[in-house]
Amino acid sequence: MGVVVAVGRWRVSLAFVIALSWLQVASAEAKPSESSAEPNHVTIVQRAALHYRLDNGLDVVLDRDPAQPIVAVLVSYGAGSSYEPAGYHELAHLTEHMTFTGSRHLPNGGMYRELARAGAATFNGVTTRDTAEYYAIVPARNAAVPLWLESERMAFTLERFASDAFAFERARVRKEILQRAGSTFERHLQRTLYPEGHPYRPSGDPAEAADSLELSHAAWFFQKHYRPDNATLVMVGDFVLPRARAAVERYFGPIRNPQGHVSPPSAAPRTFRGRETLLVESWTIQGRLAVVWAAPPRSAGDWPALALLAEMLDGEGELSLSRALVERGLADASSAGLETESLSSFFRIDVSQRDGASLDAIERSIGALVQRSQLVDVVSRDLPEARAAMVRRELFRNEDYLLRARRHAEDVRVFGKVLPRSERLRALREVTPVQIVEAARRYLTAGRRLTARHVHDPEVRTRAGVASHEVGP
Amino acid sequence: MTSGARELALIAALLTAIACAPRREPLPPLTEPLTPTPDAPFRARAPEPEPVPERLLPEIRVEVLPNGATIAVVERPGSGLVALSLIIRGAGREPAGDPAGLSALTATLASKRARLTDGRLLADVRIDGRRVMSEVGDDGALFSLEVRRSALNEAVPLLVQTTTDIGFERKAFASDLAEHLDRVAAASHSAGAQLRQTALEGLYGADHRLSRFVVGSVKTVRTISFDQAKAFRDRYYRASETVLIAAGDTTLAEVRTLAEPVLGGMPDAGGASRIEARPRVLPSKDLRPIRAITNGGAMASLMLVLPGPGMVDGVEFWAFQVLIAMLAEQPRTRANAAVNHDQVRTYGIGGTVHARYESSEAILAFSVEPEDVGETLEAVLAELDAMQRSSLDELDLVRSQFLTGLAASTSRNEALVALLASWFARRLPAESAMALSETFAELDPAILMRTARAWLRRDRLQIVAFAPPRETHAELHELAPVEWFRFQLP
Repeated sequence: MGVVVAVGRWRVSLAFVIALSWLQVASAEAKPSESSAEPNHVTIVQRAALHYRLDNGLDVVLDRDPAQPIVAVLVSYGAGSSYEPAGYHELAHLTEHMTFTGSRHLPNGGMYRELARAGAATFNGVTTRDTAEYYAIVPARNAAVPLWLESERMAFTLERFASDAFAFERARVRKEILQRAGSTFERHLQRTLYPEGHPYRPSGDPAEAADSLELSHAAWFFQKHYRPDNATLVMVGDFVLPRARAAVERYFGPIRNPQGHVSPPSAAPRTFRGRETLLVESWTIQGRLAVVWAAPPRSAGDWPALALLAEMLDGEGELSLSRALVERGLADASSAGLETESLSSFFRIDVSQRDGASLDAIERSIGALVQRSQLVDVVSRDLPEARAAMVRRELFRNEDYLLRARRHAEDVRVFGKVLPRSERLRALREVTPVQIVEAARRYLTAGRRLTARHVHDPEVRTRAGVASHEVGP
Repeated sequence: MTSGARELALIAALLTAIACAPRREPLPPLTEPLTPTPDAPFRARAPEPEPVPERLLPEIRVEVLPNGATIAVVERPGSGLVALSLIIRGAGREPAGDPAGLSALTATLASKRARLTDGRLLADVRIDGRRVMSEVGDDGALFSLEVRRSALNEAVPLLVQTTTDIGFERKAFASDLAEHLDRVAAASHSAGAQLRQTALEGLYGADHRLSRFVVGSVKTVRTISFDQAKAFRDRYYRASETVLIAAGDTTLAEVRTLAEPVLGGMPDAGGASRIEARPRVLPSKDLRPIRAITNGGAMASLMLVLPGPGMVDGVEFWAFQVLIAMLAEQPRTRANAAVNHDQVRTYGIGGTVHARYESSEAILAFSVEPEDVGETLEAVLAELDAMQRSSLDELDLVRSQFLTGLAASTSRNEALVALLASWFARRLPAESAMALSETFAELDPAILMRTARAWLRRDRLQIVAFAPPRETHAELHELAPVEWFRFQLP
């Protein structure tokens, strides 16, 4: 409707946010799985999602919610870029594209047509470092259509991988990569964070990497990873549970796994040997600064404390980055967050430089804020609001069926089960100011971090920019 | 270059390519059978879909207070959250005679400077980590907040404080203005924002109110006085133009009880509502000159901006929306097919419609490599022309997708409130939001074609580009003269 005059952005990985549970059962009509109550707080119904596994290994999550007459269907495969063999960058992404180009029972483009006929509001495939995900949101009465389509994709696609479609999709992937090329800074940053051989390390030239791939590579990747015992199917929305189970069994039950099995990738966590700096110079309309520290994995006891600290830095209290930088004219935008994935976890602060402001001044302000985050009385004052904000965000995410489906898929992949909301929220309730301060002192050290700068240089015309990485004492 | 030098250059390139080629182990062969899963008769065809249900939006309960202020609530018990919005119609983008950014500054002051009965400044109050957000569009000023159900007693009275002038303090104005200027600077510092404004200047003229950033510029906002902001507030912040919307875990009765002590006391100065006239598009015989902003990067970003009907135009507006959806928005739409039919030139063409009460603009946007700029533009323009003659028989598909998209996006309270806010801001009755499926049912190919002929025209189009000039000028110039601008720093 207009321009929002506000800044600040949240970046904690969706699947790993845990906040307070202040929920208790209210409605007599509901069949809640669990509840907890605190005084003066919201009372809502909490239904459990059903999680089970088919004989062929497919994990299934059915989360019924009749609030909206729609259903989100999502299938997640352990087939992200970290599963690519060395030297085959962009293979996961290109294979994802190929799964839309036809199958035994559908011509090329048939999938789009069937979803459009079913009234699908949104549908897409997304490749991340860990997964390839396919999703659609349809009117509730047409939930069978995406189920049928996803079973078709899983079981009958490989035999129709064709050269002409491959050439077209490879060209499309190339264009997609070039369109993303505005993130020169991010690519250099990621290559600095992940050393040679790490499954998350991006290619130095992803467009060239895509151009080097062949049809046989995509076929191999598909056969290796697109199988029921390497997938999770999730449905969230307004459906009748017995009918949904029957449909899932009908379409997915008979699907067989090919020979072999999938081994998830592994890597040692990245640590910083000292003060590392990265300087990226290229043509850019705005300078940037990022400060990155190694963070604990999601299963660590102090992860929730750091998550709350990120919330405080991203909020508007005494530890607010926005107040320290934006309101003082140093930055146009700032954010703090935990980026936790299967093979890595980082605490990260990002700042977009205000024209005329000094990156040194920005870095000093960040340092001062991090120092203040190690004071118990300051943290104590910001903590209640940070906790409340995380509860609100948890409820907010729950309203969106697709976000909810994604979270379920991630829970299954990471924990082997769906986490009830109360379990999510419990850990944050138990975090104390002292624990947050201890976590800040342990992880957000001045001596072990990476500071990355993106500086405008009009002379640098290459797409890749120029980067230099140094490790200090 | 001599032939010998040429040979050396080729050999060097070949050696470089070999050196840079990805080193990798060959992959194992595929195992047979490729399809171990047995086929079955039910797999021969996808299940036949049922028609999209008629009513996809929830019921909206509306009540008008004695002073003319409106309260509208969508009751969703059990969600745990309540999203709130307060709209002041007519307090959006200021009229042409006022300094650019006056409405945005006034909205900022209202949400920042308003003071609660206990003396606290509204801007200092946060609930669940959020404070009241102010936003200004073409049709109104919007103040919003989303909170947990438990905080509703505090949130509603807080939000309606923005309707009072209790906080407009002359002595604080200088510091308020300085802080607001920082945000104005940040808002215009994006290629997308500058491209859009450049396009509107080309369509309506540099002096037209729509050609200005809605938040104004540092130059114009700096000149605004306290009295001007106060006068704007007194003129447009009226009860009969005010709507409070809530969606989530609450009821109409509850919201009314919490809001009425302040909202019910809002004055209504009377007089006609402020409605702007449809902007006049500067005449052009064919394609008007392309307006391009210099980009030092390697890709060219292009926008085609088409003026369209406003929401006041009813079915014609929705026909325009559907046409743009047919043209863009999904990978298999007309524009994408036209551009990529023989080779892939762009990953995808996106289409959106920026709507207001009296008019709208459709924006088709994409990125291409510089050498593909000319052919891509020609393909999109050809498809635009073709839509005036086409049977447009994908109407049913687009219609059902549109309605499902509406239901999906409004599954969240905040999104639902935003949709309703735009509805009320544009003076549309609540019933029409609930009956959108009936509006869509009126659409037929004849209406679409009439709308296409009226609005999808080259002479009404403005092309803008964010591109490297050396690599793209010649390609662009083959279509139309090109005017180059620098990216504006705040």
